[in-house]
Amino acid sequence: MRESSTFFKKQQKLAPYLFVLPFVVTFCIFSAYPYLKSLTYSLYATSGPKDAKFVGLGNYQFLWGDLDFRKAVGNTALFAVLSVAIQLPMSLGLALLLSQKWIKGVKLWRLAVFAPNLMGQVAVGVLFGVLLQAKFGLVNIGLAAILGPQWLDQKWLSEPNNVLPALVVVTAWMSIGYNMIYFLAALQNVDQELIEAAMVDGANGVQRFRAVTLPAIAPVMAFVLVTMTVGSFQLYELPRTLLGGGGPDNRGLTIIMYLFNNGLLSGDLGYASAVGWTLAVMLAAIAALQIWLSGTAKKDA
Amino acid sequence: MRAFPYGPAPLAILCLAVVSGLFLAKDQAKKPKRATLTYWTFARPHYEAYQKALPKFLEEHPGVSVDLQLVDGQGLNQRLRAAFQADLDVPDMVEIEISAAGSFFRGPKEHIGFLDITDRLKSEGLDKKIVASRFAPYTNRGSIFGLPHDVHPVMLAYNREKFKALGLDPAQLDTWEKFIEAGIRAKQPGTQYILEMSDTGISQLELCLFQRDGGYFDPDGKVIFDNETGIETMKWYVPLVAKNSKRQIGNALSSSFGQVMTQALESGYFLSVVTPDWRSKNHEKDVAKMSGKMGLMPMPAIKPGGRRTSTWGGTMLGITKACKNKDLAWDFAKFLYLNEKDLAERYADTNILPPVPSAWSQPAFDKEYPYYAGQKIGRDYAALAPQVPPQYASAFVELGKGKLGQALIQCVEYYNKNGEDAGWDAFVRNTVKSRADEVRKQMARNPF
Repeated sequence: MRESSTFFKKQQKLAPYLFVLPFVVTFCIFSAYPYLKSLTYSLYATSGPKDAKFVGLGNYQFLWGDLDFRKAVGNTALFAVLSVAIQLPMSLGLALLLSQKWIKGVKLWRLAVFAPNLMGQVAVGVLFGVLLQAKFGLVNIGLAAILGPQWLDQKWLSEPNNVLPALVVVTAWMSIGYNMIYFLAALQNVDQELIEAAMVDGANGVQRFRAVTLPAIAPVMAFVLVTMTVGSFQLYELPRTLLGGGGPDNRGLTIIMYLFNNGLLSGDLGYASAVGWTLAVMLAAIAALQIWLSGTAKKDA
Repeated sequence: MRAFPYGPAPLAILCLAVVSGLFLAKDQAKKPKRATLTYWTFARPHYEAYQKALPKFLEEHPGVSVDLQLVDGQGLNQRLRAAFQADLDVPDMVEIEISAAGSFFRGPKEHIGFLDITDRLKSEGLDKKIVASRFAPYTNRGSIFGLPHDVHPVMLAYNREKFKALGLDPAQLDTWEKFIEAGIRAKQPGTQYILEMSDTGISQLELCLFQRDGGYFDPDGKVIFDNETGIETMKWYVPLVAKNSKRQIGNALSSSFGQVMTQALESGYFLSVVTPDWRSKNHEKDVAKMSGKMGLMPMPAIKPGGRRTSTWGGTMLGITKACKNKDLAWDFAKFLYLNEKDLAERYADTNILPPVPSAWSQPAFDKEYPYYAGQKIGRDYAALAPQVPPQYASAFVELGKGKLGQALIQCVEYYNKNGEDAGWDAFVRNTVKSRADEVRKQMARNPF
């Protein structure tokens, strides 16, 4: 009896480790090992995993002067800035609007705004590939009816200057509802007593929003900002399906697409790994900067 | 519960794990045995034609089984690449699209995943039986890795009614100069263009480059799209597509396929489109309303008496080194690709001209097509096939295509702003050369 209770005591001590073991093992196999492997790969010129030649920091040096990589970084950064600039205020605005009690059928409206996110980037890419066609696409037919016949020939997907705006608008259509959900949840947690106190003090709607609502939802806003930026830097499926690749003059080439093209189409895993690690460093720096600028980290501490 | 000290939830998880593990193990045991040959193709018409032909081969080879799989084009390339890299689930035979073929020839020659079939072809005299230029895309460092499926000569599919209404006789439009002149007359900006020609994509520019014996790479794999032929082709092509050009005759939509092309042809937006043999079938299926109203004419020549065709697309069949029954796979490849009687049947199903000239004399190639107003298009394509220019393989073809496309866009932008001013020639030369140099730079980085 005594022996048995010692056995169970030992097991009780081991139990937590046993329960986390599956996660630790899978993390080591499917995350930690590939991370380390890709870090070593980034120091080799490769042709698939079988042929590798050590080049030191050669891949990173080449990357520095690689015009296509620069273009991919430029496109992705511009896409991220435009996406954030459009999506953040629109998501917050819609959340503010759809949190009003006087709107009829508010749940239906919320669903309608959120629904595009359920489609997924591939389906959205295929859909807008048809909608945005010049001459015969519904978007141009609609624009021509409203703004004049010259809009019928507008080439959204094959005119280099229009490619990025088209991507930004399509992404916004898909993602605004998703980000709106975060703001809706945050708005519900704003202290109503503070708002009422501000009303008693004579603050108008804008003043109440600036002085009470905005500070209260600031941590959520910082979170949305970071995830939106990181998501923008990971853009891949949409341009792949909408443009069939980088699009004209590579104006839709993103960093992830460039990584994919090098690693999985050309088989240069080393160079693709260098692209991947450069992106990881860039993202970490941007996220840290955003959190620092928003002051959230300091407040949370 | 006393027997299990961690509570009901972990017990439930453990039970679920055991049950699902047993279920998976049982399912795995049920898995059918691997077929003698596994064959991947990306083209539905090929797949359907092979399915029809397969019973005959199996009858001739008792005990053999063939697992024919239709895999999406991009998916096939990626699955195959992953299979080669991991040495796992590599198919025995696989069809690759011409523009992707070069990417499989990257790295040391001994690590190319396909069997070198040069000796087999030569020892059986098959290299003489097939149109020679079609081996070029599948040849790398002196070895042939793929059996060509097709020739893909190019013609122009034109709207007979519109041409007639405009007083255009296709027989008279035998040179590009005459065709351009007709195109300028026929153009109604935003409504009607004589030919689908893109100012941002390279499909039509590439055809014109090939027609002039240009290309991306030479037989040794060196970049050549910035040679004199490449420069002259660019200088000639850009004014035909630049919107501010007086010589503009062509335009393009975002896609050359599907509903867009259906509407563009039905509405007369494009009066003609570049049409290799495979695309002639697409028109029949996708633009059925135009039945009897379409015709096919040879491409205009650069000079009188010059080449009246080019080439677009292609497929190779490769036998992988992982194949355990290489001789059987070779027999099956010959059965599908070189059996003349079956090739005629397959042509009737797909409109694709096989690369075996001795097969072209069969009656199937004299069929009159109601869609093309009774034209014997098989005979017309066969007549052009010997003129099809070669295109050479490289692991960097896709990069080359992308860079030529970028050069095209830059040149069109320049032309729209400045026209053919004093700096035009230098701009084209510098732009095309700097793009070609980018390809060279990437190639130089490759140590294999």
